[in-house]
Amino acid sequence: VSVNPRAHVKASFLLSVVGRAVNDADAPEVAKAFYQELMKEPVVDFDNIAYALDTAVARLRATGLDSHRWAPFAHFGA
Amino acid sequence: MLFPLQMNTGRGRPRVHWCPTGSFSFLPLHAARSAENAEQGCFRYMVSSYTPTLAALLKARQSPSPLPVAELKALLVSEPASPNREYLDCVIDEVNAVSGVLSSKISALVTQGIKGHDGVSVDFLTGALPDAVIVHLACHGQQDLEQPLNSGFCLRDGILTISELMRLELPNAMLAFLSACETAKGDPKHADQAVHLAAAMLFVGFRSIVGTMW
Repeated sequence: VSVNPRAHVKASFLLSVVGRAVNDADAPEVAKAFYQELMKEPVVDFDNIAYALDTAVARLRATGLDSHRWAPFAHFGA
Repeated sequence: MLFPLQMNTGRGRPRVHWCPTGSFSFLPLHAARSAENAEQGCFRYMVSSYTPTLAALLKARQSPSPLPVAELKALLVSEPASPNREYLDCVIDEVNAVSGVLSSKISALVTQGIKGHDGVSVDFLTGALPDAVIVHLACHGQQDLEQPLNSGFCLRDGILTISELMRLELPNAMLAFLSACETAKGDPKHADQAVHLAAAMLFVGFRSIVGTMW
């Protein structure tokens, strides 16, 4: 695991722009919606995971919240 | 193969894996959108994922075949009261809510570190992880920029570090959900810690990770 110092500076800058961390109330909502979506399918595979997160975050975005509330949630890997 | 991206909904949008480098690392590319029209954004055309390297993505995509939901084992962990850290109010409710969704569908194992109780220990988690297909971690994260392998998850009796995770055989590890509730709050120095932990979880054997960028 390597650390990219330039990226770190960029991320720090980003945080100072958005000005705050993930909202306390949002993570539980996204988590719950994500698993609800995931459990609608008979199997769990990579695509189902990615689309389930997309649906959960879209639900948060649709409430009209500012982007700093929904944008932090991201998917990594397969 | 090149094809034009078209605005669509649901699974009509292709998945795209971003592998950003240098200054583009950890920018929320998936959230890019028009300044004039907030509804006109990247997310209308694709469903984004990130990978730190192409090798990590290729390794993560090697089997397994799709797993039937009824056979899944999930480990749901909340540790609100790790030493010298701000108490996390939200994590117990979060794991209860997730447990409510999963418990009728799969064989879920829930562990809660309630304040004043013994909490979740490093030994407990290292013992439970090898069985788990899904791991949901709701706790503080710690990023050690000098010694990245010492980064990890803050439990009641210490930190479960990346180097300890690398020692484990995790043949079943499919999905890790890292709930970074309050982890970066008021600490711009650690703004990217959740991203680093997400990438680290890929390297220790999880194939698919949900994390937060700040």
